[in-house]
Amino acid sequence: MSRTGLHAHVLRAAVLAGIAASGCAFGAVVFAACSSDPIAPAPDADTRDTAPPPIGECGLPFLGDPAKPMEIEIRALTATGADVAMKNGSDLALVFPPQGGRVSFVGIRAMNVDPCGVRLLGAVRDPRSQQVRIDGRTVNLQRAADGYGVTGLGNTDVTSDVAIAAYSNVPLCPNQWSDESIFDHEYELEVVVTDKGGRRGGAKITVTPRCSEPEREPQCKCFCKKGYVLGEPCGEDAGIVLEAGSDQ
Amino acid sequence: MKGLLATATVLGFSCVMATSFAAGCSSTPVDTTDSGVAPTPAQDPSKLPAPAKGQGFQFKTEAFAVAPGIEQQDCYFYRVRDLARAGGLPENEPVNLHRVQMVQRDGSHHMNLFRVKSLLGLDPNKATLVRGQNGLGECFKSPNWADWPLVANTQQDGQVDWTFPEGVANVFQPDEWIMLQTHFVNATSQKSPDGTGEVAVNFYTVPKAEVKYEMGTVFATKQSIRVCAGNKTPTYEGSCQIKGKEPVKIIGANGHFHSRGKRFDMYSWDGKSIGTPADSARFYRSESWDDPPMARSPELEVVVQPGGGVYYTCSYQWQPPDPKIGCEGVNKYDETKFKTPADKQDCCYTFGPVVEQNEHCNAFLYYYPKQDDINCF
Repeated sequence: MSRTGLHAHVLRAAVLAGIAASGCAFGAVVFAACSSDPIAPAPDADTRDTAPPPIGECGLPFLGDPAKPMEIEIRALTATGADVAMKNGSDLALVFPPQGGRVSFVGIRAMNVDPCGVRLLGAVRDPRSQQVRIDGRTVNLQRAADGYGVTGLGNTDVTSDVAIAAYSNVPLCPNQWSDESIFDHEYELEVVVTDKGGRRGGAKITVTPRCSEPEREPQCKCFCKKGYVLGEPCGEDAGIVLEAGSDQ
Repeated sequence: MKGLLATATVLGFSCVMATSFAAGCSSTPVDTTDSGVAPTPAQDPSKLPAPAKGQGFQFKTEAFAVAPGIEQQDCYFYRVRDLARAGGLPENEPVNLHRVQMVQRDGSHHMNLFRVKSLLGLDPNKATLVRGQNGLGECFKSPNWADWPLVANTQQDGQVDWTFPEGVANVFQPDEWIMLQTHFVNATSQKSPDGTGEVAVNFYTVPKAEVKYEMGTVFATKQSIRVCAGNKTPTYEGSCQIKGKEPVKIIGANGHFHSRGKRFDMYSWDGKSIGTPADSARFYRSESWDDPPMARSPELEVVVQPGGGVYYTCSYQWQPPDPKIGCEGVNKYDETKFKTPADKQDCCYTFGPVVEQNEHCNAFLYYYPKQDDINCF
């Protein structure tokens, strides 16, 4: 079995196990179709195998089987832009984005989903206080070679606006929200995905954010520390200076 | 420039205006009446009466040209001590802002006042006026004020007269700097009718003994946004905690986006829930990009519990660009600014200042009692 095939197999097994064990409980690593929102009806049985799937406005058809629950795997970008699978215990990169501060770029790999106009909501929660930081956005998934819908393929330039816009940019620093330093402590990473048909899926794991850009580590640890106060100098590092800027 | 500032201050308050350093002192004298009666906001910035001596101060720009096709964004800096002295206030004591008046000529896209913090490309010790045009220049680069707390803002509707609730004041220390950033547009979707920009601001103060609560502000912005032909109706969602141990009251709110913006909502939020809050928690909605509601007390007074904050959403509808720009122009901007390769260009409106080819998703909030100044981006 290929790596991706194995991965898909594990995902499906996890979904089924999660559903069997806990119904729609959210605490499992993966949940699928747990919303009370209506699920898009499956295509007519007579046409399901014969008619080609309709193409969405993003140029892709429905990925997978509309009759099956959505499968979701959480992905994230490393500081060097590699799109990697996240699992319990993974490190989550705190990255210096074009908009300044520090964010984590959170994406997905999904099956049984309409890839056009997906609402991707990424969140990082402090398990001690339950406080959470959120970024939600409407994205088009790309189709990977294995048929899965993904937010990014291969290596991503984390300074590229078009590349990072497909990921949830969860803003974590300056730290004006958590009672603990953001880096080197455990946080919960969660995604909620809703496609245009109202189908929902999601996943939640525990991760450890890391200041993972060596050349910017002191600034990262300053912005992300417990008790940071807005305006506190952390070095000349408030954001990338763009050629043509951005007001407000 | 420091020397210039000192000289100008001695000559008279109208010369304290940073604009004067570049363009000469305003020919319009600042009217400092002693009537003690709060003036009614004028429509013409040059005719806005200043507060009576000892009750506040005025700062203003000169009238400057905004030629057709031009987006003019200028950053003016004022030291609180100098302003206080000019207004007949004790220059070594904090200024307690309780009422703000702002008057702009038609054509304003926005005007923001910030409290200066980290110095990067904008440094009032080096220049008290920095001009920018059509997206170029340090006054257009938002990282320069990434950690500068908001003080006050207006948008297209240039008239503001807001008295804070009794006992509430925004407190400034004598050696702090304030930046006035003005953006006038004379383009296709927005016009400056007389081709001229001008802004005047009055700060009315109260004695320290009357201050029961300090005001805090929140500036939240989504900068990684794209409104594209292949993703025509995106929504961006964000949140921002007002971290503290006591409930706060939100008393001012407004959202800012450009002409693709269809709906800007803000909700009170518990700081813990994921997903858009219930409709019953919504306290702000704008469906008019060029005339957004400017919600203020006493009409707006939303209690947020400790640990909570605001959840906001910006929804867009992609439209073809102005024919003068076309998708070619929008793509060119995307390529030049963001280095987006040709195969990824999709006639996308990206975050930025130019009304015709950029978008925004910015939330401005005012609250008390102050827990901290907060920027979320």
